[in-house]
Amino acid sequence: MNTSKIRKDFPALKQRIGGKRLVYFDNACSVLKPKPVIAAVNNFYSNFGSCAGNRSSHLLGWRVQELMEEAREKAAKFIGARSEKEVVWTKNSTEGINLIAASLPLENGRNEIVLTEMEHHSNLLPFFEQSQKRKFKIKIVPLDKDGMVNLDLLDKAVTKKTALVAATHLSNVTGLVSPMDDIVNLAHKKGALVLADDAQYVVSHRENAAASRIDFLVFSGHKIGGPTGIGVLYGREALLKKMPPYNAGGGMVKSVSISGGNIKVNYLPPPFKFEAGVQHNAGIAGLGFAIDYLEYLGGEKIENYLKSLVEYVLRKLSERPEIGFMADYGKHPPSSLVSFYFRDKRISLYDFNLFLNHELRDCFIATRCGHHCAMPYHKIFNVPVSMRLSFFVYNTKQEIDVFCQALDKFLSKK
Amino acid sequence: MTDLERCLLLILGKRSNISSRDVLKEAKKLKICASCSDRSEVFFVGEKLLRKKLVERILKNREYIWRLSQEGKRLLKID
Repeated sequence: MNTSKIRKDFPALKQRIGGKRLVYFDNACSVLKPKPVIAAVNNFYSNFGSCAGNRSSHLLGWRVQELMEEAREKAAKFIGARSEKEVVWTKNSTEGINLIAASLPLENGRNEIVLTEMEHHSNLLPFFEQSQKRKFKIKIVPLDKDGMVNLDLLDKAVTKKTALVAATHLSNVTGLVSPMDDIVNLAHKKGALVLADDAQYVVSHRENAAASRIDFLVFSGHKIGGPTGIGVLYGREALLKKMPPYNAGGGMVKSVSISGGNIKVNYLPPPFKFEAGVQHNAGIAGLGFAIDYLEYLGGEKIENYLKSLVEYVLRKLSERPEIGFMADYGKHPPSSLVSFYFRDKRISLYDFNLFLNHELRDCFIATRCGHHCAMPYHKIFNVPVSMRLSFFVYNTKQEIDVFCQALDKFLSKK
Repeated sequence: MTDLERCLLLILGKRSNISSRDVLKEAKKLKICASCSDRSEVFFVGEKLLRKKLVERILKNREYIWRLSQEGKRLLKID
């Protein structure tokens, strides 16, 4: 991985704030944007800016339509969908999960959703909210002592009443990768569907939805270098066909009529029936270029490079007895991110975070400090707050060294 | 001024020279601080108020200590 060449593609890395350069370890929240993505969004607003041709009947709209179709094809290929009909544009992963929670068919007496304690709030709360309205039951599967999905307990929880198992593919807290193949096998054996929360997964791993037989998956554009406000819901076409729309409005209907005061509506087939209103066309264009950029770097190369950074930071942090980790990383190696805490509860991670932002001479270091929208997962480890270091291809081992020096400096201030 | 800005000012108006840890403890008690979803927002607000010269923050050993500035005290009408 030629990081010095890659870094030139990311203008945000060149900026100085208060004269200090940026060391960016908050990639699990949002990856910085490469030039092709910025150019694509800029190009859209500079040269297009119109609606797409599915509603606007002019040359400009038709060109926008082509851009949107190209982006959908790229997204379909990126996640291994069978066709672009299985790719629904959403705002982000959260919206995709909300759509599933609201529209998932509950058939043949299947009225239970199985989740794990590992989930991001975005993979818990949409189901919690809909469980009240749609009268389904939620079962939460406890994790094992290492913080991993416990397949035995999951097997017990999934029954002929289970409609869906929704699980994170890569934890945003620990970086642990869930055994998704096992989860799919176990769920399908009992006739349940599987939703993979791929928000953290697809940036560092090649996903193949069709081959892995995942029924639904979601990811967000901003976590792979794309614009904010655009995401993807993948769903098997046969399932999407059965599901009612989540939002309703223009651009999603074949026909609407009013007869005797009653509205009659025929919706378009998926994905369009889930895409009411004018879409985030600039975001979609940018997402297409973010996918191109990842493909250009190479999925396997990205995975291996991020793994090497994670191994390096773990080795370095493990040398410091003050540090505790959010999982047994010796047993389960994390992927692309690690989280830690101070064993001495008198030392505040929030203060260390401020230190990283204000007290270093040449740079400031951006991390994530908090519960990372996964309070139940933190509770398992009896750690309310952790600091997360998450990496992307522009990060280097030298930056990790800078972080470790800052850590030592902070800890030495007694 | 946002609720969170008021939140931090009220906390420091009540208790001066307190640590980040204590700021967070106090924030839990105040309804006005409720939008602090990942806790760290209160420190983002701290940055804003520092720029407005309404609060001061000093690093003492491994802890940051927070207090109102003279300007902040004037705003809250504290002598």
